[in-house]
Amino acid sequence: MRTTIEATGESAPVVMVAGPSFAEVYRDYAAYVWPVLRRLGVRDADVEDVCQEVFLVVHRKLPQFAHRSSIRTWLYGIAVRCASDYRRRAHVKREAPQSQLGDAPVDAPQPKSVADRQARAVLDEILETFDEPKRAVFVLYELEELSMADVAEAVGCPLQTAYSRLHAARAEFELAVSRRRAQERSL
Amino acid sequence: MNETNDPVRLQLGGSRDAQDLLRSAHLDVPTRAQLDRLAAKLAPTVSISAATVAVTPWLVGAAAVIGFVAVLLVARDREPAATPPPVPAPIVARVEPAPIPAEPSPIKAQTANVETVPPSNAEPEPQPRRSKTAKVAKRETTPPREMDLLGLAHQALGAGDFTRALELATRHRELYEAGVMTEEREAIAIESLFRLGKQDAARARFYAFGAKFPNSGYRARLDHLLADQKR
Repeated sequence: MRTTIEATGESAPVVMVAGPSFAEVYRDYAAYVWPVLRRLGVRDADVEDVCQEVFLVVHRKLPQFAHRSSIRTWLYGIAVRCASDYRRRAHVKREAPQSQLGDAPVDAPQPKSVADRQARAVLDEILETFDEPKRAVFVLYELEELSMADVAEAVGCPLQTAYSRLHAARAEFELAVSRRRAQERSL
Repeated sequence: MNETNDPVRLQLGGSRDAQDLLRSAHLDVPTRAQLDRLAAKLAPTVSISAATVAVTPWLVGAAAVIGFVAVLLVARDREPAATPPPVPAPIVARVEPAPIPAEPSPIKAQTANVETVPPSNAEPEPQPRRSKTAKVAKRETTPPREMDLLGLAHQALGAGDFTRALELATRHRELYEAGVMTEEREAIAIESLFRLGKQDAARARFYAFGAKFPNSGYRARLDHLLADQKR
């Protein structure tokens, strides 16, 4: 059944808000949302479904989007929330964290070299050790390169809290990297 | 806040190893096929959005849910294809035979209330499956997804099975109390309660809904529904 407007018979008015259409938002930002979900802990096999959830929320909320932030920041906020919900689901919790490479779908992008793939796996493993709030701030600032003001807006916390989380996450990240380096040297 | 106050990013100011790791993230982009497949799933929503002027937010949301869930349910019963993803048109065509919930609706009478809905241990998932592959067996142990539950609830609502719709909304609340689709769930539950003749419960829940989602697109419709009953 494909619901169409003509078939509904409803005629309630809809408030028109200036701004991009849903199709435009999807076209311009889907490729941004997808990887950020992965970095926020959504497994390769589930990214498509969670991305779909993100755009369902976008579709619902877009008419009310007040443009107080950029579309990208707003979208990342939704992605953070959806990824958080995903990680809380029981079936995700039951399964131990694992390398993302193992469950990548057939058509998942494959980094060009072994070194790239290893780097990606190591990055995933390190991010997996972060708690959720720090991870979100770290991913949005260090990888997605939002400003800290936008990061705070996207994750819904005060700016100073975002700075604190970033500071802690960066320290954890550098420590994890140096530990890995030391382990590699000892082999 | 001024962006210039932000610290130098690790990709520029971190250790060499940290920089290398962070740069590997830039290799992580979706393929064209993945984006096409996602677009195909979203196609019903996009087509509605293209002519938003004549449709209420409630119907947009409902159509989106129906479209998504129908596609998901159809896809769920199919083995994973090794071939490239379908284009939008076939996906929409496959939505046509949207599956009706196979589970028996245990309560026929229109007297159920929220408290008497069967307990959550009545898992909707463990039903006989056509395929006995390990992948399907694994799925059976997972709880139903938010969209699956609410898509079925919406179908039940549309089919006039308000008891079933309320059961499914209640099940959703048990599994995803603060889920992504809480707003949709509450709208379905309120209408179901109302249609079951539980106006007081419907109204109480509607007030809570209004407080929680003051700008919801569902409010006007629900308000209208409850107001009709007063007259």
